[in-house]
Amino acid sequence: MTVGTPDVVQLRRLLFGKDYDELLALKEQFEQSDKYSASVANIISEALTLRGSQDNSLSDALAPTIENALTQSICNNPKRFADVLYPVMGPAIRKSINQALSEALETLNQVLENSLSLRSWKWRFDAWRSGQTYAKVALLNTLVYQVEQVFLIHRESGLLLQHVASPHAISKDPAMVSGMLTAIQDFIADSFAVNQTDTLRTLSLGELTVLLEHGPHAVLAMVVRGTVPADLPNLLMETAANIHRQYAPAFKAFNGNTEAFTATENLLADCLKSQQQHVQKRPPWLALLVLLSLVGAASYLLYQHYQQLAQQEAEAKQAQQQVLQTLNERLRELQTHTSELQNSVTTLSDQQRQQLRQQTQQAQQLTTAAQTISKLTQQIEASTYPFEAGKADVGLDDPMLLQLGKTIRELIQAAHQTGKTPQILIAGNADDSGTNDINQKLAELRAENLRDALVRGGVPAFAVVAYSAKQAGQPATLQKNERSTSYRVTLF
Amino acid sequence: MIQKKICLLGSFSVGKTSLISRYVNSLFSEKYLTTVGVKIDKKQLTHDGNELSLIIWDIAGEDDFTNIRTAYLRGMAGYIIVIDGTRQNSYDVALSIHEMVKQHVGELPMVFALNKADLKPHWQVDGQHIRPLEQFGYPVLETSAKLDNGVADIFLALIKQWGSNHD
Repeated sequence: MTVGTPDVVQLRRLLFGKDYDELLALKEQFEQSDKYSASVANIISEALTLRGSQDNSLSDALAPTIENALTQSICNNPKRFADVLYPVMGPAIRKSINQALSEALETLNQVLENSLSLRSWKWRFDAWRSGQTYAKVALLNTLVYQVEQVFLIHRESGLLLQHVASPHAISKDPAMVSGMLTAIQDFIADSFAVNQTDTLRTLSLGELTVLLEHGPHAVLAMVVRGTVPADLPNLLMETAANIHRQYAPAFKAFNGNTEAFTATENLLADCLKSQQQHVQKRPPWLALLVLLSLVGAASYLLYQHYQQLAQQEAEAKQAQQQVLQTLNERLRELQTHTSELQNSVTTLSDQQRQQLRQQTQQAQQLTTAAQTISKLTQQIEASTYPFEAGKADVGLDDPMLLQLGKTIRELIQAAHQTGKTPQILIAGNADDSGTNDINQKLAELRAENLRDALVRGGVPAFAVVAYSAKQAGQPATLQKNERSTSYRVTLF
Repeated sequence: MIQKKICLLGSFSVGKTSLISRYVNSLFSEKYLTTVGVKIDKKQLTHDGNELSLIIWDIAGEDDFTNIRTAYLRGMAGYIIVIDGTRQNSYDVALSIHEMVKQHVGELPMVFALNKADLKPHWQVDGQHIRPLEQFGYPVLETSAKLDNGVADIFLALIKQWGSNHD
């Protein structure tokens, strides 16, 4: 517009008047990036808000850019993000742990219910009968519906662009399934000669329903098990529209390369919805019961253990007491014994003392007796009886003789006390006048007479023996040259 | 990963299913099972360093070619027309099918497969039939699904055409 000769410019001015300048200003604004940026900056927030209120396309369009920007930013400076997230991480983690714990309890309860309830046994039987896994049968029985698979199919060729499946779903080769789905549609459309614009929207087989949403370039197929809720076709439609909006250029350029559609996985995954049968939310009785039983059993065992310990302790104490008692008894016995012993000892010592005393007395007596004996012996041995010359008569009343007899009796008595018997040898002597024979006979006679006299005077006959001192074999000490008798005392 | 839809076309009982079965599963059965409608198989391979996934549509053979459901042909990247060398009629049907596809879908990479090469002494299709086919400018290859002769070659011949004149 600006190009041209001055005349042409003049002509334009004449034709457009003031508007021409405005047009030029507007053109300049678009051509100069800083001016254009300034004008866009004025309205960009409002424009975004406005579009955001209309549909979700803004989020879809911005999501990859924002994701990239965030990734880049975190890679560049992770600490900043850590600092920013710090205040929210703590509570989030706590919440997560709480939830995990309660879920664990719930899971335990479910496991118990599944393994104990009658219903679960029925399912097990069904699983066994049908050759399926128990998990699958249980899932099928508790699900209202589940979107098992979602296919994004190129409409023209029936080639599979993207596919997602729920974890429990059994899916055969999706590329072939995708082809067959297309073939089936072609077959139906062709066989029943319906209007070319009509499309197959639903396939149904038993519990399975395949929902189909046809876009200009692609077909979105959703395999649903169970009762299809009313909002599912809407979701399918929205997703199909979304994909067409975002991937329009990719569809146009499609030559068999499916890489351009890798990112549709997230959109398809959003369709994998499911709903469990509304089970009346009950407290996890079974789990609690099992836990309580465990706790109860544990406490009972503990109680028993302590009881046993206490019993053992009591028994030990009792045994100790018994031992103590026994010991006390023993002690008492010992004390009794001791006192008895002491008594015995006392008695013994008394007896000993008595014996000692007796012995002492006896000894004293013996000593006295010995002294008496000795004295009496001396008296006897010292005594003599004078005979007249040539005669052997003994006067019975002679005081000396009486005295001698008395002394001898005393000696016998004293000797008895010492347990001995005295024997008194009476040796008769004669002087040298006369012959030896006569003297010997005279001496013998004198001894015998004296003995007889003593026996008559009361001296026991066994205690006195008479013989002649002149007799051969007699000790010389007894031989005296006098008319007398001498005595010698022997104790047996 | 590049995916391509290819179709096997031809008269009934020429051996389309057997060729696919030999190519995809390395199996061959003497038993004849007629294909109803369409059967789809997949073969993955690497060609020139590219991962390639062939989605092979085994389309039921028909006596009357006009009855071939053209809807099945939509979006295909190429096709193989199979001729039973022992049956003259299958050659005629092949020519008709080729013409029909050109009309409905347009010029596409394709291969003529002269099947049942193991029964060559009984062939009714000879040099004078083959030359017109070659004049179409497309590969004409002899195959035997039974002996596994030239089976992979027909698919390879198709793949090569995409590399050269078709994308």
